[in-house]
Order: sequence, then structure tokens, then C-alpha cells
Amino acid sequence: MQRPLLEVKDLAVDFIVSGQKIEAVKKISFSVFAQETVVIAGESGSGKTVSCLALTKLLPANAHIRCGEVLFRGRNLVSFSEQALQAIRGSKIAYCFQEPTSYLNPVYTIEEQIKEVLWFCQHIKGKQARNYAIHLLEQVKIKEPLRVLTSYPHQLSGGMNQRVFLAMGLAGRPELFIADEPTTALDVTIEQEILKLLMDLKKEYNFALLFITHNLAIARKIAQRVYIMHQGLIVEEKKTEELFSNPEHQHAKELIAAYEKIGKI
Amino acid sequence: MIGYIFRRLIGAIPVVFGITLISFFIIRIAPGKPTTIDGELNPKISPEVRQKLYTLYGLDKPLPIQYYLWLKRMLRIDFGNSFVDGRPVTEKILERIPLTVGINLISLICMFAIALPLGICSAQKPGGVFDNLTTIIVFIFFAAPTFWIALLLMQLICIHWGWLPISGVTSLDFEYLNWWQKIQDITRHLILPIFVTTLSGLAGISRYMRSSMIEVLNQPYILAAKAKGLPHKIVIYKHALRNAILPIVTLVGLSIPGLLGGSVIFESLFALPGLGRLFYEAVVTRDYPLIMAEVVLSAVLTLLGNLIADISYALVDPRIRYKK
Repeated sequence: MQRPLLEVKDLAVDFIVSGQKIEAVKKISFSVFAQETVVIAGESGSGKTVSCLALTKLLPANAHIRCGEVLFRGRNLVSFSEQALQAIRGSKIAYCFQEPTSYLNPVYTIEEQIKEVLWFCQHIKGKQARNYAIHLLEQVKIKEPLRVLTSYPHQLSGGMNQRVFLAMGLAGRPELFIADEPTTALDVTIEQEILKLLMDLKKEYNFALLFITHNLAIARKIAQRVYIMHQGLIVEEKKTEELFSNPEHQHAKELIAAYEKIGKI
Repeated sequence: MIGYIFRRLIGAIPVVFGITLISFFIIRIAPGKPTTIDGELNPKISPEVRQKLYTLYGLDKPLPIQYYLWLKRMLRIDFGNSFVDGRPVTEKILERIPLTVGINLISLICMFAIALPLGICSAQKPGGVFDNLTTIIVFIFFAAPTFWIALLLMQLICIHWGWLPISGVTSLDFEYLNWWQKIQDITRHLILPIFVTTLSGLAGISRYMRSSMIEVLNQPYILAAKAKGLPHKIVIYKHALRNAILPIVTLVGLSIPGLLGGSVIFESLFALPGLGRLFYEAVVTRDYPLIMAEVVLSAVLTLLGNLIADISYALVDPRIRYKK
């Protein structure tokens, strides 16, 4: 059998909040194969985001990985130095987040923010980098790439900024794209556009996609496999169709019932 | 941008007038007059002579007329003559500006040059050893009275070790020195005042920088910058610092009026002929023309400082620049 691109084994993350230890993620294991689309679904506070940030050690200062392994192409990222991780982030594993506007630096133009990824991940600079950035913006279906390039994040809409974020992710040519609720802060029509764009890009660039959401409708639409997360644990792992036809864990059943109820409205 | 600056300057004019109007009348409410010592308190003086004194100083006319006359002169940048020694006020102020502004400017530059790196380093690990150590040190200098620190240093450096001259700006043999020795002489006299002023200002600026930096480091775009695979240095000095420095820019603009301020105690201690003592004496002797000149000067500088703060803020923050 083929080895997964990303294999997480018994990953546990603790937070220290005012002297007390809080186990945000309790020994979870999951895997993502090359070019696969995997969804981690769960309610807010279930530890989805923390698990994803822990993969490349992007956790806040009051959190640490208690135990576990994150094997990316067989190498354990948990044991990597900060410097070694910098070579992984962006160029091997790219992220995009909820509320794209607040994740873009307000004082730099889009051009600057895309070009720095091109420089640090691919050593492209100058005029070549600019042309590449324009190409990337075209890839994410931005109609006026030149105008967007010289804009600041606050001058663009949320949907536009999320496209910029996707372009920035592509700039590093990642093998794994981690999308943490990328459409939650956007309105529904934009959400559909971004989802479609993400899937199109995935087809063209052949990256694996790890998608975090609380929205099972999205999971059903894009995922090959779904993990259900609940209170820091992965409680169920299934192929998408199987999950919807035959959920086992109580929490998975509740989530699906809620999803179906919304469908009826 | 030019239109904006122009509008702001026009808008500042009524403010300056308002300030002068209020201060002109407030200073007259204060008890005592320039003539108190020679006039009212002198039993030998006759009422006629006292009246002559009033006329001499222009105090016999009604207040609004006095204000009007003062205003008319002020518009020609003529602040009148000092009541105390009859010299033009402008001349008295100008001769003291180089020393006070020089000391304040150099101290301010030193303060920022030391405090900003301190704040940035502290913010890297809040509550860490470096952070706690700098916090304790800068707050000792902040909390201790400046004159006390100055006295201790004078005792140690100037008297005990005899490394630096204890007070004044120049030595007795200043006139006989060549230009290079003159510069050295002045520098040796001013090292201590500048050093003490700098120490007392470190706490405020470094704390300001620290909290601004900590706030920025917790912003989502810093996480995103790390997630993009950028090196630590780029994340800190390009992404975080550029945002954290924004409030500091305002601080620089707002420090501008302070350049003319001088502490009376401080200047007395080091025997410096600065603006602080000049204005203090002006208030004590009710030297109205000098007081009013000082009011106008600080009003203009404060408004100018605010304007410079706003302009520079707009220059460094694109979110403000583009708001039409």
C-alpha cells in the first residue's frame, strides 16, 4: 500500500491557561494521501484549528505539543528545528485561513506579500516575480490582476482577499494545502465560488487538500474522507458517502442529523 | 495631501487665537502685577508715580484694549519688550533656544535609539529574563526623581572621580580655546544633563514600544507570515515592526513641543541658562510680554507637532492614506 503524504500519530497539544493545563488535542491520528481531499469536521472548540497549526509548529506561545509524530513524507516534523520548518512552511505545506483580510498584513501591498513567498520559497525576484504574481492572480480568477497587485488588503473585499491568499499559497508550490475554514467568513455566493476555485486549483496543481470546516454540506461536496472531531478527539473516520449513510459515533450522528434538518428547511 | 495640510494650517489659526485669548486673561486673574514690588509694596511711592508706572507698562488701559494692542503687535512677530530688563522678548528667547533645544533634541534621539530596541527585544518573550530585567531598570530611572539621580551622578562622576565638569555650559577659559577644544568643552559639560534626561525618558517609550509590539505579534497576519515560511527575522522586522511602529510615529510628533520645555529644577542644578528658568522667572515677575510669547510659541509648536504626527502617520499607514 502507498504511504500517506501526511501521517499524524497520537498528536496531543496542551495549552497552559492561567497556570492550568488544558488538553486541547488528545492523541489524535489521521492521514492525508497525495492529491487526496480530506475534511476534518467538528464544532468550534473541538481542536481542529489547533491540530492544523501544530502540524508545522505554528502554535501560540502558551501551547506545546505534548507527544506524537507528524510524518510528512516519512520525516517527523515535530523533531524539526524552527529553521528546518521554515523550509517546509509555504513551500511544502501552505495554509489559508478564516477571515482572510485580517490574515494579510495591512501595511504591505498584495504584490509585496506574494513576492516575498516567491522569493523565500522559490528564489524568484524582480520583474520575473512580478510577472509570476500576475500569473498567479489570473490563476485564482482575479479579473484585474494589475489593480489588485498594487492594492492594500483593506481596499479589497473578503472574497478577493481569500483569492489572494490562495494565490499566495500557490506561490510556494505546496504538496499539501491546509485550508482552515476558508469560506466561513464569506457570504454564501462567494463561498461557492471560492470552493469551486479551490477544487479547480487542486486539480491543476495536484496538491493534497486538508480542509477544516464545521459545515458538513461542504464536507459532503468535496471530501473523499472525513474525520469527525469532538472535544479534542477524532471520534470517527469514514469515506464520505459511508459517513452519511452509516454514521457510528453519537456525535457524528448528531452532526449529520443537524445537517439534514437544515437541508429540509 | 497638500490640500489637507493647507486646510489643517488654516484650521489651526483660530485655535492659536483662542489659546492666546484665554491665556491673556487667565494670567491677569492671577494675583500680583509687574508693578507690585516697586509700586504697591513700596510705601514711599506716591499715587502719581504709581500711575506713571502703569502707563509705562501699558496697564492703564482696559484689558480688551490691551489684548487688541498685543495682538496687533504679535501679528508682526513683535512680542514687545520684557518688563524686567527692557530687552526684546524675541531676543531673550532666541538666545536660550540653542542650548535647550540642543539638549532636548539629543536626549530625545538617544531615548528613542535606546528605548525602541529595548521594547522590541522585551516583546519577543514577555515575562522572560530580559523583559523583567529591563522593566526593573527602566522603571527605577522613571520612578526616581531626576534631580536626585542627577545629584548622585554629579557626586560620583564630577566630584569623586572628577571626570566631568560639574555645571554650566563652558569652562572659565572657554574664550582662549580653539574651535575644536571649544566643542570638546561644551560636550563635556552637556554629557551629564543629556544622560540624565535620557534615562528618565526610557521607561515610557520602551514600554510603549513593548506593548505595541506584543499586540502586533498576536495579530493573525503574523501567524500567516510564519505560515508562509518566512524567516523569523523577516516576520519580526518586516511584518511586525512596521505595524508596531505606527503608534510610535505619533509619539515622535507629540514630542516636538517638549523640545522647548526645560525643567527649572534640572536647569538650576546644572546651572544651565535654559528656557525653563527663563519662563519660570517670567511668571514669577509677571513679565506679561515674555509669558505671552512663551504661550504662543508652545501653542504653535503643539499644533505643528500634532500636524506632523498626523501627516507622518498617514505616510506610514496605508489604511489612513487612502481614506479620502
